[in-house]
Amino acid sequence: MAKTLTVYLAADLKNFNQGMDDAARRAAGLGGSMSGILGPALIGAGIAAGALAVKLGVDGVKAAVDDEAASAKLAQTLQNLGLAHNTEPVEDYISSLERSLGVADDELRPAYDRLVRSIGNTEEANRALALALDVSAGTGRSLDSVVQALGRAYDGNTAGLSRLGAGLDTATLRTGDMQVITAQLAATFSGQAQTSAQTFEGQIGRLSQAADNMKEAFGAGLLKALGDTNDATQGLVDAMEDLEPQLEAAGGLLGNVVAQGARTYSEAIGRAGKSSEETRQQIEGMNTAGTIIGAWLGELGASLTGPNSPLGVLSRLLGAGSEQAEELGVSIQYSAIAAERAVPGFTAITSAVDESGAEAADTSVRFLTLAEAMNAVGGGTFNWRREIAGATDDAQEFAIELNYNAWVAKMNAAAAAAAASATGRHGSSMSSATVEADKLTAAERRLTAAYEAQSTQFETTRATLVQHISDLEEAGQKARDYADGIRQGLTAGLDLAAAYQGQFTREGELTGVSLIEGFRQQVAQVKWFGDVLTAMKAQGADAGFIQEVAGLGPGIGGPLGEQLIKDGLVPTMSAEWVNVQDKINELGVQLVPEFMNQGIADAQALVNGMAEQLSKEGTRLSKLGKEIGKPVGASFKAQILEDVAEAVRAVEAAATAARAERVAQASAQQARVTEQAVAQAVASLVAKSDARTGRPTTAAPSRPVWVLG
Amino acid sequence: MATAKAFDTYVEGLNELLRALNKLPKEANQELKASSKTIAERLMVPAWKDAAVNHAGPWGERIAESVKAGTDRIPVVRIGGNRKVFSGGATATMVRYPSDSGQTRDSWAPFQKTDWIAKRAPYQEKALQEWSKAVDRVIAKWTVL
Repeated sequence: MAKTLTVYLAADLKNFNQGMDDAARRAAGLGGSMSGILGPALIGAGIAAGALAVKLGVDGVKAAVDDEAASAKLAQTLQNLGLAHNTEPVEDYISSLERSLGVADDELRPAYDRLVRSIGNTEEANRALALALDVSAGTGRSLDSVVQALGRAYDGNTAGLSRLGAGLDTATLRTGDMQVITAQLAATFSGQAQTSAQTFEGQIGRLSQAADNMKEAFGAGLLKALGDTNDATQGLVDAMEDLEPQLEAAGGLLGNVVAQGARTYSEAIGRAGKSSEETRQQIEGMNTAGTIIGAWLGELGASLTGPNSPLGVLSRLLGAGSEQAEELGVSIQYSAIAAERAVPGFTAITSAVDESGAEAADTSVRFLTLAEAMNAVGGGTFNWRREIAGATDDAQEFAIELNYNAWVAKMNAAAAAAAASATGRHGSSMSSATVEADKLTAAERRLTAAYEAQSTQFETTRATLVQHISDLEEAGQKARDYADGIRQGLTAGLDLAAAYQGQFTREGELTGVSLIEGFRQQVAQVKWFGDVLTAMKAQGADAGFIQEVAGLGPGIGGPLGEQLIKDGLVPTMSAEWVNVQDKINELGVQLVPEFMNQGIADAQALVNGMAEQLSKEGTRLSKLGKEIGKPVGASFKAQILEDVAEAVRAVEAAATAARAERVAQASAQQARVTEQAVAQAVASLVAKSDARTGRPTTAAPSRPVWVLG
Repeated sequence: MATAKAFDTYVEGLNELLRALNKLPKEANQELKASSKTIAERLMVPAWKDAAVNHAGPWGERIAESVKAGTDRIPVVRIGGNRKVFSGGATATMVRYPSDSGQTRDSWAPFQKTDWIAKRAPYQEKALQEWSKAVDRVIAKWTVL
């Protein structure tokens, strides 16, 4: 599906490297036309060539320093193993491998170091390193992985070798005999490294290695001239700043030369299909162009080392005198010579192209690879300023970190402001609440008055109820007394003593009536007496009258009642009795039965009514309590909240003051850092644009890195 | 939306810078996006439109109409579209590269090599300067209380 093209103004340098890889894959996969591929290839070549000139600076120094460190490490290993006398031959051997195979000494020295530690013998280590190079080239694995596996095998652990895919059988590995194992490896991979070095890729590697060596030589020369004082280093840095425009201009010129030569070659390739002779001629033209490049580099070296050149100034600045300047010049010359030596590499490239039958796709891929290789040579250029101005980066990182911290402080301050705002809103709410509280207080007063009035009524009702309860209790007691009277009257006939005595005569003789019989007679008499009283009640006898009869006991009350019943005198006697009671009432006697019962009934009704009334009053009082309690509670709550808010405001005020002081300090520091960052960013952009347009750039200390795509 | 990406310049440490900007409030990044879009509209879009109109041949006008500024923290333009803008049903995206390279592929349209993409006016320097200022402005604004 067709895609919309999105063009970004800038991308991270990582995207550039990734893009180059993708471009190489696409070129290899599509076999695009030569004209389509040569364009970017030439651009890459121009960049690489331009970068090559600049690369002779601090990057070369860095490479020389790394090279020296690696050499020192290997030398120390050899010394520890008692092989110090072999240090120089080992270095020579590594250098020879580097030149012949195009493998960097940065890889070879650690590899040799690893092997010689396990083997303890430089001759065997030499063979092992050569074998490792062959295996690495044959299997495509990194030299480091192969060396580690070999080293472990020499230590007695051959498991790593089995994973190399080197075709070693288990039986061989189990022997643990390194002579046998290495012999089999040699039989399988012998000559692979040399063959690989002869390939186009190998030639490119050797070309790249030559450039690296040139860089290291230049850096080593600079270091030698510098000595090791910090002042001299700073002088170098300053001088490099001065030198930069000319180097960049030189890079541009070199790029133009290379581009022109490559264009010539491109045209030659374009005609390759017609005439191999013409191709050859164009290849020769390319060789000539390469020679021109080398010669130009020589001139460049000479011009850069003149008395008024930046390096001359540098030399004077360092106080090293003309000897150092000459040494630097020699280093430049060596670099030029190295570049000239690279010309055979170009020849090898063109030969490879010729051998490939000038197939456009392959040619384009190879030129792209060449561009990448040259880019790889110059790739580190983009870091050298950062190497010099690492402190600037640290400052920028610090600025970013500080920015973040300041932002956090700002957020805290905002949170404090929000809290203050919330407090303000709370205060406003408090004002509203106060008004409402006043209203509620007024309502409270009204409700309180109503409550008090209701309470008075309630107390009156309650007092009345209490009185009625007291009366009821008294009435109840009297009722119980009445019942007791009746009971006592009835039980008066039960006399155990009489039942006992009834067994005997006065003389002590038995009467023939036993105790139980006498008691039963008494019970039967009580029952009879009760029946009599009941019969009297049935005939309408008044309770008082009945009680009076009952009070007489069975002995008298029973026959009396029986007679009253038999004579039909119960109503009359009862009425008379009632009349007597009325008269007694009139005399102030209150406890007549009818009033008593009525009083009880009335009291019960009153109690029930009062209980119901009390229940109703309780509900109302509960409502009243709530109505009164709300504003009272609100008043308390408002007061509490106001107190809390006041306390919070006091605490916030103190905290805000402290925070404001910290923020002010951070702001002042941030302002300073930001100004620096802005100045650096602007300077970096100017430098980048200068680099892109090829214009001499204004020297500025500590620029960040900007790279053109 | 499927897109192909291209970059005008490469800046070492740009990703780290963008990651650091992530630490700023969302509003800061929105402000940077707005500034970047303004830069793209003012500098990048005209350059691409002019290149298309003046160098892309008969396809240029439609291609130019498809050039739009995108919204990102980095100034960005989008070129092409999948809307049919030609009578034959072709979209701006379909003619964008063929009009530049002249490669017709399986099309019958008479594409010719114009290199119009490479002929856009250089805007990178000024755009980068303005963008850098925008970044510093955002940092200064959103990190200094």
